[in-house]
Amino acid sequence: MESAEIKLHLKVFFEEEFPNPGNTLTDDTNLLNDWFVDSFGIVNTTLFLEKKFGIEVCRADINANTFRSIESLSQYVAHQLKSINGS
Amino acid sequence: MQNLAIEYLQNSKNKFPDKTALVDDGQGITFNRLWDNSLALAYWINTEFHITNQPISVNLPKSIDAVIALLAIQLSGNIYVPLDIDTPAKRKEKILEVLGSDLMLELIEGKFSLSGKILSNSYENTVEIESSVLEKLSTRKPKDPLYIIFTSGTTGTPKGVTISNASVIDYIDWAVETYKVTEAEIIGNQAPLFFDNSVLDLYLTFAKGCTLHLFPRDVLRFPAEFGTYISNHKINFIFFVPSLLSNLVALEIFKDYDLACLKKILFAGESMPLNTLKLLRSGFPSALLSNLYGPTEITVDAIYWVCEGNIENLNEVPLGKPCDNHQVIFLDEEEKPVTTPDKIAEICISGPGVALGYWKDAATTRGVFISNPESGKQDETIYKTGDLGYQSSKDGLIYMTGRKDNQFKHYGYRIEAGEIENALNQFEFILQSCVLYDSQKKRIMAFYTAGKLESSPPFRNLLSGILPQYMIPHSFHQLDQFPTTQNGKVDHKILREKIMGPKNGIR
Repeated sequence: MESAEIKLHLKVFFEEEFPNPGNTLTDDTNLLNDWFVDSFGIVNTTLFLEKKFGIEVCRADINANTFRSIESLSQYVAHQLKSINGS
Repeated sequence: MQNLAIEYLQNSKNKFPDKTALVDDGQGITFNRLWDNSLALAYWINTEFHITNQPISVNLPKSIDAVIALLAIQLSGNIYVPLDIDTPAKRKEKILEVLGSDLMLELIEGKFSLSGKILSNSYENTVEIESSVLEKLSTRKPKDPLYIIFTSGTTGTPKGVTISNASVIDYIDWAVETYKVTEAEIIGNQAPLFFDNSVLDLYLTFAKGCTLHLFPRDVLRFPAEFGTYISNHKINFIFFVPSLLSNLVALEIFKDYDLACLKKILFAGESMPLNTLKLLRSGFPSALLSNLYGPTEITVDAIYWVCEGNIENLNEVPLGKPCDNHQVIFLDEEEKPVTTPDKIAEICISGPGVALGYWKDAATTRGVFISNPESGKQDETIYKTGDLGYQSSKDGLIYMTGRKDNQFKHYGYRIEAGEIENALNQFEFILQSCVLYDSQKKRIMAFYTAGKLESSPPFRNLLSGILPQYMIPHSFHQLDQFPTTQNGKVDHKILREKIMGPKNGIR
């Protein structure tokens, strides 16, 4: 899956799950500080990643670096997909 | 006979002077140091301000300094008021207005400051300071207020629940006995200081000489950080809101981390879902699991249940039975006692934990702190919680079924829908608003009617100047009109069914 496609899926997910009218969600928006992804949102996002992309999210990877932005999350997803496909 | 809550710390610092009392962000402080630093700040308050029994708000992030501030204020014979440092300035102003005092303890460039004055002296002669502070304190009585904690109010103005020293002592002595707390306990603190669950963590530590870790923020957001922190620091005792425990079990945290050190897991602040309890039990087969219940107005908790034996047959998690020295009375809508088991009525509580009332608000106090209507008990004050529940005929335990008003719990925070609606109604374009809570998805939803709008207003930005973050609704829905009841009020039941489908019960 292309990076742009992963980002689009993530953007749709965050805009639906965490609607923030009048504000624009970009690839670099800080999800934890400038959007309002709370601890329950982190759990839901983890479950979404596992279901949508068929990856396994190692619990140690659920951290502030991975969950910083759509950019960092998409890189994480791409990396996990690559290791599944073995390429 | 103990008069004041501060005596817990005084005794423990004599017993365990060099033991670590608090840990924050890798920094620790011993019992002796905690006592000396608190005394020095109290001495400065006494010599600079000459005040007694006055509320002093504490505008500090959770930290060792914030705990020193709470201790110093009580040592100076005054009443501490922990504020949410992130709450908008407008809401803080309302709180100071209710308090009738703008005395606020803060840190300026690393130094304590109170109403513009800055603590710059360093006091060396601790013996003299101690005797001066303790002498002034000797006139303070058990029934004198220890702290004021603010809770959401329906009109938009928060209410200051005022709790006495005697109430905290009764509660802590009960908890020490019930949970067999000793100095071996290493407690992990989740609750903010402005949320009264933190009273248990703090005063158990002071009472028994435990060590208390103030969890860094990321420990509570990220399960992996939690797992690592718990196992690295051998935390064995936590008192959490159920939402956070639900998050941990949803990600099966105990499979990846060795959490065997966690032996006492207490939870309160909102309903514990049965599924979470079952997962907790299987993850921690030998730990003590205990559900507690109590609004701020009865000093942290008044009903408790220890999870023992087979829980497979439970249909829901019970609140349990009253804590020592407390009674639960069920009242019907006419405030008449209900003694029939299984009959749903309002949960009311009597006992030493009942608050002194709401600070400087006699009218609201009179509405919910009433004389016990049971025969021969009219001298006793009971607190009407607004929670509905019943005593089961099967196991004799108390269960909660919902609320009689529009209050709800979100991550353990107690929120009046009215406070959010009030904030929304301040915007000119809003005609009418209504706030509902979806407890399954943990979401606050706002509904409103408005004139013609070009686009959806930036609600989060607008509200963040008025409400604390945890009160800002998750979603905003414009309606053409609200469904109404026969007397013209918004019909919550129909609105809820329209949005979430039928069978969606309580807020």
